[in-house]
Amino acid sequence: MSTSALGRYAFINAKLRSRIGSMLDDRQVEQMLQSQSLEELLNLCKGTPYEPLLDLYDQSADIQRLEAWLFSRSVGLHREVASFMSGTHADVVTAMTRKLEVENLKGMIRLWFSNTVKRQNIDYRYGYLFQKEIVSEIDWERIVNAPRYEDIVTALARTPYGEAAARFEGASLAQSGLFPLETALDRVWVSLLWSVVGNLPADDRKLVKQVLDRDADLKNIINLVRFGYLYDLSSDTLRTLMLEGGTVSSTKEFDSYLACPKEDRSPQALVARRFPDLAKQLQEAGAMTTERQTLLVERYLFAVRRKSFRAILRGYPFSFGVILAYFYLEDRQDALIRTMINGINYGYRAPEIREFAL
Amino acid sequence: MTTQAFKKRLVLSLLFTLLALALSAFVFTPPLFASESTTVAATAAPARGDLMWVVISAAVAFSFGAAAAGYAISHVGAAAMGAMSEKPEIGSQALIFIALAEGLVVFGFITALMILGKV
Repeated sequence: MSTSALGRYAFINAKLRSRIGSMLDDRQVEQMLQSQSLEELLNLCKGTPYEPLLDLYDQSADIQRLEAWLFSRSVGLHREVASFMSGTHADVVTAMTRKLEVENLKGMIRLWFSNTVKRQNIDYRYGYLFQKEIVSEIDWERIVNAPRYEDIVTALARTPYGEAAARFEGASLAQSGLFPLETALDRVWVSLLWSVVGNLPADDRKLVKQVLDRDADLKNIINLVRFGYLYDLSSDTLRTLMLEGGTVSSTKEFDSYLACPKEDRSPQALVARRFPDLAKQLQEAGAMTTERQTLLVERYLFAVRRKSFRAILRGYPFSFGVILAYFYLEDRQDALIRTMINGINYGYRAPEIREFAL
Repeated sequence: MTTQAFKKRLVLSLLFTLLALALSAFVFTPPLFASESTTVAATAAPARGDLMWVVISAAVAFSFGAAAAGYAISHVGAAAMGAMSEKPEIGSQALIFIALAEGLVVFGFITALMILGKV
């Protein structure tokens, strides 16, 4: 039986909006930023969804455990939302959960790399990674303890990541590092997400495509600026970083950005047509270091993303938009908490932490 | 559903409701439109066929009210449960919205009584 949008989203819309209403507000965040110690910060988490962090810190005084808890909470939230949906809608949420799975997989492969290639001790680090099933059945321990890269490929053979992993070889990764493999894995989950979005009903499909296209554009611009302008990666490598979706990679600005020599690349020319305000800001900030300019671009594009999710929350309530906006806000809040925990732990002050918390 | 489509559906629903009300008024209140002789006849005991239509009208009024209330409560109730599962303190506010939906069956019931009262 087909369900109307009202029937499908009545429960989840009310539930997620209630959660959004309980998220940290600006006053609480400001208070947290002013904390003088980690204990003070975690005490301010009382009565918020982050209250368990306080107990966890009391037991271990280990901030990596706090980060591990934030990750497992995020997995739990994705799974919970998927359990309230059905059919294609649940498939889309599950595909979104794959982002976390890929993050975890990248973390495991980094551990393997440290252990096998760099010969570092990884025993204490393995405990901080998520070791349960996220979406696919992956034997995490087998990946970390793989004697050769080929064994990782075998361990991933029955997952959607097997094909991407098989395109690389242990020897070449030891030379180039894990960056190419990690970007290939990122592209896998984005492509899996696109493949299920096509099965959504027309209204939801249109909305989710709009959001994914916009996100792909923002992420691609950020990658082009960060890796092409700040880190001077080659044009061929930059092309492999481009995520599926969006229009950035089919514009003439993109072609000319990649065609010109590395030292002549201009983020301003890249964004001039799509974000004239940002181009103006970059022009005014001409004397800035490349790092500051990159940060300016990232800040601007993150603000664009934030605005668009706020617009979704103000719009028609019975759509997939509420789920996308909820995950975005949860992600942002987790990132903020993580930045504050690390910032305060390493002795940074409020203005510096605010700078990092995009 | 886009905002545009939602507005279109809302306008259509309102038009449909108005049309249904107008039709009901026309069908269920014959004495207002009847000639004097039929009015006199109506005050007398109704014929068997007329009685059947009165009962059907009352049943339709009540059952539509009940069905509409059921539909509304299924959605309002689901939303209320969703919100209350996160914030139990809003339970009493949620009940108000459920009661508003419940009102539809009361309207149907009163309409049915009024129709039956004409017998």
